[in-house]
Amino acid sequence: MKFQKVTALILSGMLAVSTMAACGSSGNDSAGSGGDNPKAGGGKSDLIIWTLADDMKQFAERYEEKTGVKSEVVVIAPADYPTKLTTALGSKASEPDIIVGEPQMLPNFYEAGFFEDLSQAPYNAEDHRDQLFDYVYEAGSDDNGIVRALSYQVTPGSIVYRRDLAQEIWGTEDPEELAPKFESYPAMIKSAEEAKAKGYRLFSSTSGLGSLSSGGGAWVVDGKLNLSGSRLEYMDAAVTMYQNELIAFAPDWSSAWYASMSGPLPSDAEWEDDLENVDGEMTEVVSYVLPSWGALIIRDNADQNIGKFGITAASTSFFQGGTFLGINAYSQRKEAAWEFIQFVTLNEDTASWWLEHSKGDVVSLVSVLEANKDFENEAFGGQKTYEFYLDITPEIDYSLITKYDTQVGDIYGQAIESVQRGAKSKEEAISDFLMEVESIFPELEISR
Amino acid sequence: MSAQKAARTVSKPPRMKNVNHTGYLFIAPFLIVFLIFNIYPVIRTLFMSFTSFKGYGEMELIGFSNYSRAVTDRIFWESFLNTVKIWGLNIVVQLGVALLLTMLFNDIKYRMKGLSLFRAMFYLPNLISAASVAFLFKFLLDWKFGSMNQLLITLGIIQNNVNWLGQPHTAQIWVSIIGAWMWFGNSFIMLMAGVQGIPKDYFEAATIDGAGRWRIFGSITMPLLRPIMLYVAITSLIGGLQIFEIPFLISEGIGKPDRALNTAVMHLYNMAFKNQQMGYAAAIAFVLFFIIAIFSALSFFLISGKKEKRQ
Repeated sequence: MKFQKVTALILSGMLAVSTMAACGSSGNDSAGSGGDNPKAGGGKSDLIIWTLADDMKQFAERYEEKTGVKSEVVVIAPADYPTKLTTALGSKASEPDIIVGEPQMLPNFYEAGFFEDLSQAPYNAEDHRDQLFDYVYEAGSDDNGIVRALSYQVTPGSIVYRRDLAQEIWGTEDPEELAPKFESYPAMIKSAEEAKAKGYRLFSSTSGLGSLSSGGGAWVVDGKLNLSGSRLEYMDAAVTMYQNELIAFAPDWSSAWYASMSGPLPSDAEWEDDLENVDGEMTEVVSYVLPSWGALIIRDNADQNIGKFGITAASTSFFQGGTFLGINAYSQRKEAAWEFIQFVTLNEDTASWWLEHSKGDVVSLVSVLEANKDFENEAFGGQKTYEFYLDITPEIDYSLITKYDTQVGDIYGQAIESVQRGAKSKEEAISDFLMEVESIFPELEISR
Repeated sequence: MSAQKAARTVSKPPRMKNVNHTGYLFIAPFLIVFLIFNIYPVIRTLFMSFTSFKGYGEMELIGFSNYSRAVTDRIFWESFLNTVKIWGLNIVVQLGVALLLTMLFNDIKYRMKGLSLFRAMFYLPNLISAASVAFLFKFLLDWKFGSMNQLLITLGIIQNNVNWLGQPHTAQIWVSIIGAWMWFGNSFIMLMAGVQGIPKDYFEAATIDGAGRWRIFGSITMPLLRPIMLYVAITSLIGGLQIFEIPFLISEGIGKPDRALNTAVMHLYNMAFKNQQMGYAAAIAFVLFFIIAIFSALSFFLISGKKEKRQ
């Protein structure tokens, strides 16, 4: 009986202590399991940064080297990031000090009031407008034109292609001569047929085609859903390429997709990790629709194909992703946060260092990109990739971006997938798409 | 001092005479936790359902707009229908298997041994986390490399690979089967407990009178199991109409293929956390609450009502 009492007492004590410990840590560790523990690093940090990718860690290390200011970088998976940030800042948490966002997330964050007004003193971010590409400045501003975030990179899109395969299929590897092969959806279908005739596939999957469909305007114009002709053409092209097996069935981010950059792959691997398990015809992927950070993926995965890639213009200008930094409106260390943001986004030394260090990422400071436009990129056979991006970035039209894009684009992608699989007719899929958009966004005017 | 105490006791109103207030202290910890973590969230959710709250900022009252939106939201009703389909098949398989096993383990002629071991084994799937189960079945049912297709082809049951999770109907059937596999052990334990509560004399008397296995089951076991069946059916209904984890993980959160795995709670979750429409999601939660309450009441009256009639 005594033993039972003692055991019960010990267990109750442990429970109470663990409960208190859990409560005690909740104030600062609200990043949860999605990333590194902000307090796990040991010493006290001067800044806490929540971000989406590892690159910010390199900036933080560089900042510490240069200034002695210690930062803790918490990397959170993009899928979890909006929820975590909304939960934390919805309760007006003063940490993190610096928050980031990709362009498609930013309008909601601005509306929620999470990002500090950088147009006002002491920041006066508008003074730096001329230093950055227009679309970066626009993406970093809210509906009222108030600057809320800045980015160190630009992410214009292009067609990345294999020079050796292009030479074999079309007899040329020149970017300018190859641009017409990708100038429209019908041209791409024709090019895909020509590639297949030689045993290759033009694209790894049909997902990249969506990036080229903004030619007909934004998804939402004046409160109306805009299912433009260009988006219908995208659906037709994706279905044709899928059903005629003109693609390699290697979805973006799959093992097969990465493997396709370095050599032959089974033509129907889909999400299988062990490609040796997959039977069937071997093929190679000729090209990818990628934003500028795709160069880094090529650099890391091309293996023996390094140097065999080239970049040419896509049928329409677009951009994808990009990390925008802002100050948590509830932070207690706003001045320190602004110093860091300036160091990352507006400092020419940092931008030059990042260009060299990343070997291919494209910075948002126009002056630095201009100064490096003659840089010859090894992964791309010595092509002057920065000069290419310097030319196409000003063409990006940020007015085509709306806060509806992610959800509406995803639903449209699912509609296309169902037509590709033959599960629905085009009309049924479009009708379903409109119904789903109406369910999520009843405020939009939808014409059938 | 004791005289003063006695005077105080005497001065209490008569109805308070036998009340011992110390008891409130004992229930206080539970009550406080219950109020904070159960009652408060429910009241807050109810309040939120009348607002346009997005998960941040102010809560602007908009009356019954969210409820009228839910009534006309075709995707919500589609997701509810998916839920009913998945739950319907799930409950038939789950209760059917549990009943069969209950019959088997209670059959006087078979005298099955190792009940404790089998009970533990049947209950095991319930202990595995839903995430593990979802990933396990995703691999098993992969249409190109999954073991299920390879097994069925080897046995000659199918000729070509079947895309089980890529077609709306088969995907729903498999989610139902997964649910049944996870929960039949739980139902079995309940039904066994119910059967073991029936006096053995009834079975022995019926056997002596020459009643067969099915007659015993239909005339003794089933009628006396009715209260337990009612409990299992209602708890399964409440849980089944809230099915979320398995279809969410199998369909990567979007209900694919063709929204066939988009259940009502998934729709609620996506509205709240993907589309930042907390107010509307809260309204969906309450609509679901009322639907489940009505279904539960119906089940209760249908099953218990019949019982009373018979008696």
